[in-house]
Amino acid sequence: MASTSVAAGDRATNLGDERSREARVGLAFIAVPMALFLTLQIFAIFYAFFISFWDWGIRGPRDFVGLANYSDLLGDNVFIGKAIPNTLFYTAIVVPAQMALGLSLAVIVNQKIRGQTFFRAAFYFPAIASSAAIVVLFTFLTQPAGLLNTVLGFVGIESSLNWTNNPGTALPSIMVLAVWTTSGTMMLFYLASLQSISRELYEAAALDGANWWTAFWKITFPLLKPAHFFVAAVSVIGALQMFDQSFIAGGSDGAPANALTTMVLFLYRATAATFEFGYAAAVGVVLLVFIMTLTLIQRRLFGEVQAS
Amino acid sequence: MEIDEDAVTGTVRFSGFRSSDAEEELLGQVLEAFAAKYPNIEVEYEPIPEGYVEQMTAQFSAGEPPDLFYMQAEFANAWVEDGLIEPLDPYVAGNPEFDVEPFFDPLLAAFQFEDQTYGFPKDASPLALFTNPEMLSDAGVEVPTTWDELRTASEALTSDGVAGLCVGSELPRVGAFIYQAGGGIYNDDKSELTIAEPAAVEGIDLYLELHESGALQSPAEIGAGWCGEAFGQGLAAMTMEGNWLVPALENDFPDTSYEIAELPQGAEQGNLAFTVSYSIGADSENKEAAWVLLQYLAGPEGMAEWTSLGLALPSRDDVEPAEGREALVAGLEYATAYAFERSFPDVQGAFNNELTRVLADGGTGQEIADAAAAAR
Repeated sequence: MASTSVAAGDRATNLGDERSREARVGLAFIAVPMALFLTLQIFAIFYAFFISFWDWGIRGPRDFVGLANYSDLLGDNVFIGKAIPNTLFYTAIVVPAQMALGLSLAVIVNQKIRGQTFFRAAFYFPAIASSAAIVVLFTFLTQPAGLLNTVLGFVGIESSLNWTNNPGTALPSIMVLAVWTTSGTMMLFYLASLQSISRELYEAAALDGANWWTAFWKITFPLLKPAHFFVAAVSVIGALQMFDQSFIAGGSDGAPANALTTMVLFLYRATAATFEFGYAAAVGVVLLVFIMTLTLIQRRLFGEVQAS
Repeated sequence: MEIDEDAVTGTVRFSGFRSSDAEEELLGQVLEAFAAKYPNIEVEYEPIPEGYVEQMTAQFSAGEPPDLFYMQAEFANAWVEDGLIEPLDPYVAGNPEFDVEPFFDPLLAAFQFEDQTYGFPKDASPLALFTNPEMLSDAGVEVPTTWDELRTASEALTSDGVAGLCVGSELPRVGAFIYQAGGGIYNDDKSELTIAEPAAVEGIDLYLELHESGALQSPAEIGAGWCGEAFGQGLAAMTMEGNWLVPALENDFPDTSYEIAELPQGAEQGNLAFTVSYSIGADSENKEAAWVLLQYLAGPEGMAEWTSLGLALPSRDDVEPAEGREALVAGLEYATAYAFERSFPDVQGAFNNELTRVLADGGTGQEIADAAAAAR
């Protein structure tokens, strides 16, 4: 800010100089991240489009193939029969579950309760642990002789299932894990929004005789609309890009029986196992279309809201 | 091409993946011996501890691969096809210092495409039958040498909490049965996928039959990370693994005794061998110095040192294997190198996935083979 000792007449011009100097400094500050963003993100996206029309190997383009990568992809049983359904099923269950759990946790820790800070930290804790470590631990817990089956045995359910290695239970198991690890982050987003809702609204509602439940549905839930949109968008994008849990639990094969093959795992396989980069780029473009479509649908659902 | 080793100078960038501290130390000794012999050449060793294939891919596409590096047989076809690897025949022709003859043929074949050699196997890892002598004598069975003996032995060895035989539910293990049945994953010149032909399917059916009887279990069913762990913990009496199991047993399960025998024989003798080559990049900077290093490492002197502790088995027959590895090396004579065409990873993935499904839901060997063939 301009110094207070300057005479009033100089102040205006000084302020103008200061503004433009500030603008220049500001531009200089964003120049580097902006350049990185443009080359590593925007350029990369368009370049992927370009690559997807080529037969592209490790050393670069071999042949222009037009839409052949896309038509091969549509005829690929693993992509159409496993990768896409698995990804959509995962998204359809994990996203609402994450949102519901995240919102419930946020509402709970927003109450004036004893040990509030402790609970906030505890609920958020899974989100800061390395997902690789958590998945490895989870596969131990869900082994035939693991803790999960032992606990089930105590309550009278005999099970020798290898949960993450059985074609029927592998994906649902990983879904449970994903909901647990990420709902802490969703809680945080909801909590920030919850705290911006004015107390007076609740006091007014209480005077009108509204109980807690009514206040929640009539005040809290609708006022959280921007948060819903933001959380849903982040959660859907994350779910569609699911890779690490699958890769660590099932390897690049998406074992068992492609149960853990997601779109991104499929993409990875096309690059690191068969080195078909054109094909992989086509998968990337299809994924982009999925993500954009779902995000646009969400914007419609939640109306035009500014994500905070 | 004549290369005067003593006249070659410069720096060689040498990259490989690392598997254990013991191996790393041994490699250091080999490279020191090389440095003493060729003081004009400096070796810059750049190990890649994680994501070897991804990192090499990046270096290849940047046009700056290391001068000498490891090439896994399973990726050799794709790398050679993309023109990334330097053909080595010119370096061998008329070179009195380097003899191709002693290398085991199936291993060498994994790196030969259209009459050119693109790498020399740095070592070899075939499969063998590991048995627990205490469990065998308790059950009163001999080490099986045929499929029939394998059937009776593994059933006799199976009891509550112990699987007679642990074999991973994946093609790199079941493939050995396929070759023993007289079939093949591919035909001899690897031009055709033959996994769905009757002889090959017979091998897959052996796996399913033993599994059905309960005598064979996969590590997932036993609750172990891999069969080596199941065997070490005494949860399996026999397993089909390779040389890598020896240090694992000695380090992690010193109390488990073991014997190594050749794989039981079906209609034919069959085995799989996993191998990795020393190769030079087409874009490598100092190819001559890289060749001198390759010639030393893959030659009798370097390989003798590299395989002296038994961590790896020699890929040439003029180097004696370490003590106790005889049964493993014997298997190399009739093994098939586990390296096929470019789309093989898809075939293997489909095979493993369908096998897992059949183990859970039931099905036939033919279904598994057909699913694998369809993925080509």
